[in-house]
Amino acid sequence: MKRLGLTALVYDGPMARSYLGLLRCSGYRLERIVLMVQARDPGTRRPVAPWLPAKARHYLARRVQDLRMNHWPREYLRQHRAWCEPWLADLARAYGFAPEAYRLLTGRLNLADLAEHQQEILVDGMGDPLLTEWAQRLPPRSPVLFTGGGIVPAALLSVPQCRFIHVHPGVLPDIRGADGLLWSLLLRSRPGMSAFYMNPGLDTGEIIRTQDMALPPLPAEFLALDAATRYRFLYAFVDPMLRAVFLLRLLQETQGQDLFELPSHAQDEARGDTFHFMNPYLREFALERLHALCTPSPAARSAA
Amino acid sequence: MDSHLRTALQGQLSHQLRQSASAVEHDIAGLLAEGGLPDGASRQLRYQRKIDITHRIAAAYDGVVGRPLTEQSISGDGYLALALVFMRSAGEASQPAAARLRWINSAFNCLDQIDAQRRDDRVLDQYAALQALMRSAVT
Repeated sequence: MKRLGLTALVYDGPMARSYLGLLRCSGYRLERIVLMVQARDPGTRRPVAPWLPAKARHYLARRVQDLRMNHWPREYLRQHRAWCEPWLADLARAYGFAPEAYRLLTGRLNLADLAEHQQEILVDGMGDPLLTEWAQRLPPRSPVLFTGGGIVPAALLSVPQCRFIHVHPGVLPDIRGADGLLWSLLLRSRPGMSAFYMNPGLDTGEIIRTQDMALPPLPAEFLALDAATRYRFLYAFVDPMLRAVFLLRLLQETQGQDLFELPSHAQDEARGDTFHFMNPYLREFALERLHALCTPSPAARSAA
Repeated sequence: MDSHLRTALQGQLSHQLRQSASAVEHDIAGLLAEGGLPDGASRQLRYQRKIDITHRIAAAYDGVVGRPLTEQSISGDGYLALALVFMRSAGEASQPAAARLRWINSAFNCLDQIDAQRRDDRVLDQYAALQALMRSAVT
């Protein structure tokens, strides 16, 4: 295993598990992983059992997060195993990685398998002061991969010893904000990815690299699903793994370089658009566009 | 056909909003009448941000459309009119594709806020007409 001089700051879910699964399959071991356990139930936003002793509460909160955030990949693989597994193998082939990378999506998250140093922190959102305290204890010049979404508070980003890297599913500065994959399909007819050093704005940090990605193969069974299910499938299996593939390519291309200070350039903030979540009607339209653009999955063709 | 429909809807909704007690609905009526508000473009952007992020438009805001001054939301007429304002911007030929899609997305977000239980026949008709306009704009 190659030791990777990178700290991963993650919430459990398909996004984090795709990065971690792909890095492990590709022979990388992170220097450090920090699992943020949400003190609030991600579904109800209510505090998880505040009456429990701290250790038991932490355990329960981690379990709740696992069940909530990894529900759809597990459920879909259970319901649609017959075509889903060949499709995931097709996706792996199309983007050049081992299909085993998907195993972590449904399996047990064992941090010791993934990183030299592991830590779990029970936090109440990204603004929790515990996170800033954690960042202040990192060694100097620590690059941190942030796998979550949304805005990271300026207080955390301004901790001098670390620099946060994020992979965004859209070519910056053209496509910022939420649902980047779908907006990219509507506006550019293909997925795009960007890696950047985060700043307090929404996807406005210094760009390290951007890349257009190939369209994913899609089986006929996927195309037969209703729009809401297709959307969840994309966010369970495609969007997270595209980000992970892009990160892996970046790591391979910058091997031996200091991830704290990769060549990067400032964005033209006046250029580009910031998008919000796509309305379900437009989403359906974007999924139709994806259908029109994509080639059928070879596995689906042979099954037919 | 689309422009006739749009003009008819605009006339009806302007008339309805003029009778409203909500300051925001008067604002929206001003946006409907192009050039009816001195700082119309920036107010329209603020309303777009509100509907996209909070998924509601309050019946009253502070002067810069920042803080809501009431828990009450605007009426179905207000949402229909705001969707029409957004669709008009989406139809401007000078707008780049990204901006057009953002306006259309916000217009759909407005329609989603019209409470299905409270749609009378008139609102239902206007809703259907506007939805048809929006669908043809997307395709």
